[in-house]
Amino acid sequence: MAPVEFSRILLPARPFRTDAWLGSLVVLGVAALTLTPIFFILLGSLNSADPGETDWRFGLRAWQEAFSSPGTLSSIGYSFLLSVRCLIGIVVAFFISWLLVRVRIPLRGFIEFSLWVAYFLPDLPVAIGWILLLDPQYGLINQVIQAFGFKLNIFSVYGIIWVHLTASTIPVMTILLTPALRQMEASFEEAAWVCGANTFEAFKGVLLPILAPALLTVFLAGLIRSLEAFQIEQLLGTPSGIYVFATRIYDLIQGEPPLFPEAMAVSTFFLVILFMLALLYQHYTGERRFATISGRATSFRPVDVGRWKWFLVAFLVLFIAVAVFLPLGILVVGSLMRLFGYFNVSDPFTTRHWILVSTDPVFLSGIRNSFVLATGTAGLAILLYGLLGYLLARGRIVAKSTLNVLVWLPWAIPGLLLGLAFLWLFLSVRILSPLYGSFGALVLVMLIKEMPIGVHMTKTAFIQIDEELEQAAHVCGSGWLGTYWRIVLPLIAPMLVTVGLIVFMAGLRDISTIVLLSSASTRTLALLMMEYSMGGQMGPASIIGLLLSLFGLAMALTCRKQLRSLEG
Amino acid sequence: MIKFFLYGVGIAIIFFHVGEASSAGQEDWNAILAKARQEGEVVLLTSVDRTEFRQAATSAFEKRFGIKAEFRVLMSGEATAVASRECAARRQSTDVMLGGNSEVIALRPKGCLEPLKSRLLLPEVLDLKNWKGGFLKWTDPEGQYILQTVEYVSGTVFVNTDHVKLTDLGSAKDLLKSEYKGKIASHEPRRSGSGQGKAAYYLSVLGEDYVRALYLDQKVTFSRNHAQLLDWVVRGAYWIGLGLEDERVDMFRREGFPIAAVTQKDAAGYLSGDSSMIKLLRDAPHPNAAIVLVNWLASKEGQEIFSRFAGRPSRRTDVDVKVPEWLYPKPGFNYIDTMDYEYYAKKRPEVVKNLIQLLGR
Repeated sequence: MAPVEFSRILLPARPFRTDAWLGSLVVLGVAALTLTPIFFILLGSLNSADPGETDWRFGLRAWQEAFSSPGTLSSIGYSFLLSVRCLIGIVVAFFISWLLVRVRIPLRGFIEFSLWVAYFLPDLPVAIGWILLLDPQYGLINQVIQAFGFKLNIFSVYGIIWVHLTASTIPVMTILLTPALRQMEASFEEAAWVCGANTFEAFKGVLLPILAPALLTVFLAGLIRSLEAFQIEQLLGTPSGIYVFATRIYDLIQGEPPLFPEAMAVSTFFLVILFMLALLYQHYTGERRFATISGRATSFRPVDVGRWKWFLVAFLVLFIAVAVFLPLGILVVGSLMRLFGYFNVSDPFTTRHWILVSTDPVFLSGIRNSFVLATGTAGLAILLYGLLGYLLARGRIVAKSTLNVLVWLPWAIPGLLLGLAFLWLFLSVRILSPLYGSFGALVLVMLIKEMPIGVHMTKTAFIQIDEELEQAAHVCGSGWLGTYWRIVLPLIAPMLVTVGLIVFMAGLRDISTIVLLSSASTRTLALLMMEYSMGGQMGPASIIGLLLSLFGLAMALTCRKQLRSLEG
Repeated sequence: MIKFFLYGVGIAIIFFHVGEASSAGQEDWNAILAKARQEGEVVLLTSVDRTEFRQAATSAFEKRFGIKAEFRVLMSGEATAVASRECAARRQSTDVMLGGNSEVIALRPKGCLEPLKSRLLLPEVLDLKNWKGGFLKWTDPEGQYILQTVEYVSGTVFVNTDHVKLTDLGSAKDLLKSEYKGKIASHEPRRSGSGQGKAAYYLSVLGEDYVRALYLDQKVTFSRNHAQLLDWVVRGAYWIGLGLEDERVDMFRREGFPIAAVTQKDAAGYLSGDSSMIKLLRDAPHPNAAIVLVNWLASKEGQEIFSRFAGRPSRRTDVDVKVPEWLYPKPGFNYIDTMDYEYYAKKRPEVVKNLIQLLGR
């Protein structure tokens, strides 16, 4: 069946008008927030002063050093090779989202909940858990399957891709795609079925084209983040000589003394890649319209797939068991082990790590600080990203395309360098200096860091709403704010809550972006976890990771309950 | 007779001045302590990542002086970056740094460090007989900014004794034997850290050919994670480990795992100060409490806590904390002092650059 033509989708809509000055102000504001760190990075990369010199000195030394290394090309190659996971991830995540929303299968709530668990689990202990299972010499799974002549190697390209896919790529993509699918009006698929299309044809011809912006946003976000990832690559790639580009930035920053100009020069690679991707995205989504929620009914009766549902649910439960509960179990057991991963010592289990963490004087303040940062950032994110997304979807403002690209920029800078840029900014600009060392600084930098995913996903949600709903509200005499509050917001509430939760979790877990800007009085649990990890104390680090996951889950459950009561 | 008289007068003058100085020092200390208590707190920026050290040190310091000590723990490079930016803006948020030696290059030339020597006031710190060799060790050429309180042998080779006999590796050249090909693991030598320290040491002592033969021809496997590296050696996945963390090795050894240190006669290791360098920051927000903290860190109590939880031997002679035996220099062996300014600031960067070129990035 050919893709269905929807004349209504292609109809020109009456855009939301804003005053020219308001639009310009927004563009300038976003430009100031996103371009300033970029400017700092470019300027810093042109500094050829020695580490001990006070003054900035122009030179291209950092660029020469950064790109003359023979391993540069190979690390770029590996970075792109490992980003193949985004393609796999988007296919699997879309399929899982579709099953969860559009197909009548048992345990849907449990599976969705488990994917949130997977997303909340910290990367490092999970990767160590996978080593315990799949190390070619002593991995527990390998010891079993070697009897059948098989052997898996976690220290390989496919090992790294597997850990990323299960720990974050598939869960986060599913989490983001599910609300987009849920928001889509049922009549499109129903129309396709009336025209004789089967489920697969409706899927291919209707769902895929309509959800293209959401898919593209999630895919691009995944691709950019995959190019920046290095923690799992450091652990699993180094033994096999697999180095990625982001590792080089990390090495330069962690040098003695740190070589920031070189790190900044190297990071411009991301800037170029991201800029090209953002332009492509803009080109694809700029001209089209993708409204999927109209004034007609949006209720949807899930497809009954008969006995296939048992096969599908078995597949999902198996995936959840391997990807989520296996590493989660290792994390829990690891937190109770005297030596992480060693079962053959005398008295292998202990509660010592739990006592160490719970009696740490900075533990309670860490919980408080984490919640202040995470809730503050998430609350403001919903407000700010919601308005920016609405403006990008509906507003007729000057330089809208520029704004679209600007919003992607914070992901062009690795977290630590973004933090460094803001450290410089807070200490150099008098009006901003009161923020330094306060929660305000941390919230601001986290809002900027999470802006790309937050704004673009919210924009996608707005794009899916047909403007006829707002036009009808206008005809009935409702003003812009009333329409936004009473009509639009409830419709995109699932996406806003998802974005809010993702930002909340980022606030709980982030280390690299805030580490340079925090102070002893704003130290979060994630920074405490970093301290434990630095000291090789994997037990206490696992406990903090576990607690962060539990806090995230508690928030997710609360939000889901609220959302359901709203829907009810 | 006149001679004896003059000697007597001389001795009396010396005693008088020493007494006066000591009394003046005590007065200074009391005045500073009183002001420090008014300031109420002090912030330490440190790369010492042992949680037990933070807990014990903050508790002991507060108990002794009634001043709250806050620790901000960052990796070495990050700590330098924060202190450097704050120094440029003249807005320090921390008072004292305790960590590695890179500030001798990165902060000292910018004038970001306060002279520390003249701020050492506690008699037990100033009494040179309390320090090994009868001197305070400074790593800066001026001898007044960066105080090194720990000195130990680093770069030891560790082996899994189920697979390798200690006597089989008496020389560094033994590592090149064909039976060890593919059986050696090292912490990544192309980035800062213990693996790089070891490889740079081999390059300095044994030359390029040796480093090429060892790391490239013997196909040494690299790790960037200390726990993983140690895991490999204790489980026998690799038989020989370079750049392992001493205190973690000691922990596993005490648990009965088959791991031991090897001393090689032609490459016994090098002297390091680890993260024991004490620095006083310019524009410290709590200048008096900072002076109290640096004195306490160099005191017997401060060094005992540091030595116990960092697992390093203090330079203080009155600190008796049990640390692994391979950390002490052995008589009859030559050790490069990597904290020496000439080596650290001038030779080391060149060696590291050559090393990275040699091993490729």
